[in-house]
Amino acid sequence: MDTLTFAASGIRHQASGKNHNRRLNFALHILAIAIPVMATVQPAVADTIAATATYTIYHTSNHETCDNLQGAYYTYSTPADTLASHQASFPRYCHQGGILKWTQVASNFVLTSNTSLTFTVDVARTAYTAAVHDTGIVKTWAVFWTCPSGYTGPDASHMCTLACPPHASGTPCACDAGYVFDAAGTSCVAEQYTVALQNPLADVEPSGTANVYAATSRDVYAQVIDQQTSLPQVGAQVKFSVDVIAGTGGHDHHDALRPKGKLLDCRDNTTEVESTVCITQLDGKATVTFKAPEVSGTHTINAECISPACTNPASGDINVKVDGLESIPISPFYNMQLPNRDTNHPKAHFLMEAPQKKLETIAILYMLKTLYMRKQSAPPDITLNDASLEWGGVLDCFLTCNSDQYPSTPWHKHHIEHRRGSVVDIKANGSTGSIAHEKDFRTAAKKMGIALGVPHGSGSGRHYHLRLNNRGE
Amino acid sequence: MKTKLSILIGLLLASYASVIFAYPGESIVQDANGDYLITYWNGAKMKQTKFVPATKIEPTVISALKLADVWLITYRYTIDNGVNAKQPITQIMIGGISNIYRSQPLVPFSSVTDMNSALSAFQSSQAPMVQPNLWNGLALPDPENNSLVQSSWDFSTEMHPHEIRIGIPHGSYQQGFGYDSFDLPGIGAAKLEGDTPIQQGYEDEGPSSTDSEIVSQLNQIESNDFVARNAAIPAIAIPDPFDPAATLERIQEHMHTWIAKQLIEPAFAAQLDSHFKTAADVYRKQGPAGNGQIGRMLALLVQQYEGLEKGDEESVKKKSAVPAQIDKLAALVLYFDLKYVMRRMGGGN
Repeated sequence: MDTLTFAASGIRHQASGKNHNRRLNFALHILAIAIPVMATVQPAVADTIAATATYTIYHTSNHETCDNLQGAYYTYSTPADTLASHQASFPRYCHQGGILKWTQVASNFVLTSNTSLTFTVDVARTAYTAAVHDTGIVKTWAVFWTCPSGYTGPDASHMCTLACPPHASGTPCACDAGYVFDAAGTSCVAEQYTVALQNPLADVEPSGTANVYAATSRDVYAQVIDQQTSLPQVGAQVKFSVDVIAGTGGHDHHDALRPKGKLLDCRDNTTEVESTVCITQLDGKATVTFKAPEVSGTHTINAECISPACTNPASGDINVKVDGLESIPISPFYNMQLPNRDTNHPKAHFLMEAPQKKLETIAILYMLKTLYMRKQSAPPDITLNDASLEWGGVLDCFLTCNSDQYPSTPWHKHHIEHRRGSVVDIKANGSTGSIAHEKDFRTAAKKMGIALGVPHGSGSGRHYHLRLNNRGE
Repeated sequence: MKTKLSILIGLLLASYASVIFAYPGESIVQDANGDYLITYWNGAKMKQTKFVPATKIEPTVISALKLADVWLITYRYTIDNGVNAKQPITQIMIGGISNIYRSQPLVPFSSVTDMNSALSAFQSSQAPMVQPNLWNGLALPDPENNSLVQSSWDFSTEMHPHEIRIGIPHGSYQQGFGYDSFDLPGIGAAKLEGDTPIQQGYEDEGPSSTDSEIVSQLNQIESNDFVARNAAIPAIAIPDPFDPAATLERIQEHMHTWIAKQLIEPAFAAQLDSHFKTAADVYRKQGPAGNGQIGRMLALLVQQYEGLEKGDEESVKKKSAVPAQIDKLAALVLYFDLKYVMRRMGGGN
């Protein structure tokens, strides 16, 4: 017996028209036989794919003739319109020696081949039923389900599954290691991380003063982000390194021995190193501690994540500087030794505002004393020499200070203090422009609360080392 | 009871009588002359220099207070230098002053742009000061607290190189330092310095390491290069309009600072506290009737010292039969303050 086997859990029949009895018989017969539940078609991505699936139904009868199907019709319904049942007749153009030629008879179906029924269904539909009626003979049809291009299956439940794209596998699809879905979620693309350095990097003070009045170290982080997902990457390795830029910080000299900032080794957070590898945390951030050197200047911190997926190392500048230093203004009450003899440090006349005000008041008080001593026409006999560099820090002076007796080398603190804009040297060597009345100068300084101490240097280098904040810094 | 407050420098002197070592080989030694011999490492070798402090003096500051017209108070000081002093006193500085009377407005040095404005500022700072001949007085903002005033007097040996008498020599005294103020007296510190020679100092940049202990100690020596003594200074502002109860509370608050300075015994301060409270209450409720309570406080002071009513520390003597519970200067100041309130409320003479 031929049987047409397809349709499914919800077979629907509608008796109507002249073939009512035959349809009814057929329906009863269908109900009587054990029809495999085969045709509940629910493509896995039914709701998201607007494609067609072609189902081929082979007629397995070996004696069916075209004539047998004369007048046959079929009904079908789909879950989308379960209340309606559609009826259509097979076309009546059997020919070619009894070979059936079925063509499309309904919008949802394409029937081709003499021994097969080919259904084209909108896979967005989640189920359909269909039945074929003949003239009374129940046919058995084998139903072969195929899935549209781009899908795999059907599985035992006649489910079509979106086929995994290249570099993906599993159910549901997962991209292989090193790959991630693209923004559309349809293909796997190679992972790409971006590493970004904290921006801006706040300034930090040079180290090395006896007392720390501001931070001389600072945490710096780099964040690793997945470029496709924009999500932070945990566990990524970021290599930090640091270098110093020549010609910065007020030093017009540079060499390989220039002290530069260090990083704390991320493994112990203690050892000072020039580069270290740190691991990103849940927020995608890897953090390293930068420790300032004693010499001011701009440092470049580089961050590079150690992964082929990382394509853009990041870098940023951090200024090692004392903030708030200002150039000592020109004043009628003191001279400045300009230009500075030390051409390596042409600008060494910077002070903080408050110390500068004290200095000026001391100079005024001293100057007025000279007026009382009938020196009105004399030029001010306070000559300022070195104060601080524009960014503070070690003020080395190997060019002008070096001698056999007091050897001085680059970057070494031959100039004691002078680092935070509160210490200034005042010439007291007996030459023109140097302090002529030291006791009165000391008195003026003391009235401003400055403990002057004893002079520094000898011969032409003798000077007062004025600590305008009363502390060595 | 101590009459002189010798702060910090005394402790320093005591500690530097022994040797301090910092960097290996570094030391500060005070020699028999009271000078500091500083041995330091300059980064290349050990060097030595001498620092002559300005503390080789034996100062005594004698305060005198007088209530003048329109409730203006004159503050006068006599400075004495002991016979064993090795230096003349050439600089006196009194900071922490709440206010000084100025007949002309102060021109701040921060506004100075040229020599003329500098002279204006200088003269406005000189104007309120009273000083002996050859001394220069200046009233400047206190460098430790710019809202307060620092008065200072200095004797310029360079301005008067031919003077026989330099400053206040040992075994002598000098009167005539002072200023006026509407504020009531409290007790502050006068810092006095002796004349020091022009010193050679370090022949280099000094100790090589700013982190060393010797640098820290040198900073202490230089910052405390003076001898401190107590003095009566304007410290208590008068409420405007005058309010006796509020004034008393301010006096009481200032008195409490004396406990830590050991100028008054806590028990005596507590005894006075009850009188302060009662007097303030009475003034608030009954006006001049509070004078009676003030009278009882004055009596407690008079039990311990005589001559308080003269307003001059020189005239105040401790009554030998009575153990003093308050320093002599403190008693003088408190007596003056209480009497002032009483007079403002129509009592006393």
